Amino acid sequence: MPTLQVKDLHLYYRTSRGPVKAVDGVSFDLGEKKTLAFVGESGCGKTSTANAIMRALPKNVHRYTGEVYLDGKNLMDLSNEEFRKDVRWRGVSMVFQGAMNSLSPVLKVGFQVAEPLLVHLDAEREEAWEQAVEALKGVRLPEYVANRYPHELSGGMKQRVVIAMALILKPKVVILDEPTSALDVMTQANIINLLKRLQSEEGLSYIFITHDLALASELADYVGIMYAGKLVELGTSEEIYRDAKHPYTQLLLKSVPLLRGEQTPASIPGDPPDLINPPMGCRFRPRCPFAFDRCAQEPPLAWGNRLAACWLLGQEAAAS
Amino acid sequence: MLFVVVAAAALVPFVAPYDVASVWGDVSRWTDLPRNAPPDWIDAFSEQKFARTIIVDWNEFKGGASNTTEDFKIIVTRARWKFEYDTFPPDMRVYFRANWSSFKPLITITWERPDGEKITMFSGFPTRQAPLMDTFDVPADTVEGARAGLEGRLREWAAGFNATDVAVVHPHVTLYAETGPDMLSPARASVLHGPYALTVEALAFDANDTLEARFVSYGGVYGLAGTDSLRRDLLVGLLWGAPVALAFGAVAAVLTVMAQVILGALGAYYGGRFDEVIQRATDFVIIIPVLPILILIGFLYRPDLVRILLIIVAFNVVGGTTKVIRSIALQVKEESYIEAARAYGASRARILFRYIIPRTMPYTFALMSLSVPAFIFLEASLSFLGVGDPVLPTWGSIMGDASRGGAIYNGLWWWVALPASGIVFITVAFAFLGYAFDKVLNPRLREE
Repeated sequence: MPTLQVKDLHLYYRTSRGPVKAVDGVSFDLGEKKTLAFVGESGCGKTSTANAIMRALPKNVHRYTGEVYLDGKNLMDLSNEEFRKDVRWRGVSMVFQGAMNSLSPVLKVGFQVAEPLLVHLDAEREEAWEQAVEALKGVRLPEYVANRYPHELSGGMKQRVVIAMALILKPKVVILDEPTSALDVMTQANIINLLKRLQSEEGLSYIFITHDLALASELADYVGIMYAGKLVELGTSEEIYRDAKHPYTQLLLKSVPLLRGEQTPASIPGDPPDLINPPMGCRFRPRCPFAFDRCAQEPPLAWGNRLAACWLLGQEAAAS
Repeated sequence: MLFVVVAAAALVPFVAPYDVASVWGDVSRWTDLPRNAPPDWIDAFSEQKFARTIIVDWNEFKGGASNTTEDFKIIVTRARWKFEYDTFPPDMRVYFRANWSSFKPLITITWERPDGEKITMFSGFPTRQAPLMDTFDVPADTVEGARAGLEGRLREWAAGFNATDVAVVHPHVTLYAETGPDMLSPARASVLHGPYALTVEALAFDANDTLEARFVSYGGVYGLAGTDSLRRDLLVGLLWGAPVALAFGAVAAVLTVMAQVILGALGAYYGGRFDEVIQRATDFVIIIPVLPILILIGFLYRPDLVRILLIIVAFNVVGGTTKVIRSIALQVKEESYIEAARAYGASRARILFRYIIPRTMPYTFALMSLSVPAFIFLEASLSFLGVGDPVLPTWGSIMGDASRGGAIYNGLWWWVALPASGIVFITVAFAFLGYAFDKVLNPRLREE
């Protein structure tokens, strides 16, 4: 049984122009100690998917449906209070985008790391502090960091603090929302190594959200490519990087500059579609070089042993 | 500066009477002080030495009975003092107590000067019943409400020194003046220095009859802060004004700013209709004129200081700070650590009080210390207008008394200037504190 199973998750936002279909029928499974990376361009619904799983919703929710199973229990059936008590941080925790800003500037780092303990376990302050110091050691930070304020730390240190905070209640699943986006490459590598080590030590499952395909390849066992609120391709990183099936994935991979090699990075012409009024059928159709009549209908995701929402796969299957 | 004010406020209860509210309103407590006297340090700005208050108390009058026969006895009691000042005292007062059994005694008060001259100030029988307790006031020249005729006797005595006659005799001047042509004129007469004496004598007709006396020669100056028209020592009022102003301003500022911060942050955090209600209430409070309403309440209910404080706080539950804090909180609540806090399940109250409000604290402190003077001013204005605390002396009420007492037209500058400078001092102290906060907390103003 997968640790986290998401089925047909929808999250629409209400705006004055109509509902924004930020997450539109996303399904995936995540096994224990596995990492699933969500890759896609800005505004494709990666973060919204994470927020939908965490139930960290804004006020203007239009539609919020689907099934999210954590160890076989459907989280969508829980009341807000039950969800807050049992799932937030204890089942699923999250490292937010822009970790540099995820720390309150007026609280000492130690107290901040201890906050989830105080909130969830009603821990004594001293005890929580000690656990927070332990957690900071766990992310290879020296003990004195606990007594510092966030502005006294470097970006990498802050990122580690945020990770320590996410891990302090020993959750099963950690959602990492662009955890390294504001860091330099060396620090990125350090953080990724740390995350890997923590995964094997603590038995964590990661959902890793990034727009950086190279970074995703470092950490991910599985990669999900998102486009316009939908998962367009999902596979092991091997499958995605070696043998991408969806035209969008292929183009995305071509857009990554390589240090060696004669290939110049190619851009994908056009803009991502309007999520209020997405194109009929395959949402990538207006930008897809291989688009044909069939694409006006919505393609299924599953084709034999591969998951890619493209009619071309059907043709391929028919041809072989 | 603030330290000075706080230290003064803390020391006041030790140096000034503790039950100041009752003492201040009790006129009989202040009878030994001169009326409308400037502070005594004006000596330093003048070549003259201004007259100080001289008190010869009951037990300092020396003397006793003599010539006791079966029919009568003469009781003599005498006060002696040296007068070395360069100005004439504004007034003098002789207290005397007499008791008799059958016949009224003949009481005589005699003024003895360093040059050997003696003037009978009063001589006569009391008109009231025993026991007698009365005063002889100079220059009012009255005993028991009746004229004592001192002016006439002085005019006659001065004529012996070829004194230029004047329309009105000023006994307190002439009694202390050097003899000569100018001895009747307060403007030109000069003081005769030396030992003076006052003799109170009674011709009594019973062996058990008694006579006692007390003499006060009021000074032209008094104390560090002078006195008002009710002879009250302004220093006491001024000193008590410091803790009153400080406590009033600080408590009002803390309460109102806290209320405004919490409401502003709540409004920003919850948003929607709640926010709307708070914001419209704030607009309303900002545009209504609070002072006239406070004056009205003051006239109708005569509230004491604590009630005035509560009323002011009630009127300032929302205000400018609400708007400032709301705008800060709107910004803060979108930061990702608030999102993180929500995600790990912190309650709304926890987010509000642990994450949002601490971020507003720098502004809060600056606003608090800048609003202290505003409340001190408000209280002073109310007291000045006579609708402040009815019994407690405050700087505002002292200035109000001064205004009603015509201090400005009569040149009683100390009565106005000293409480005013107290208000200015404390206000500037808090303003500096506020600017200091601003400088510390606002990096752009920090000098590197």
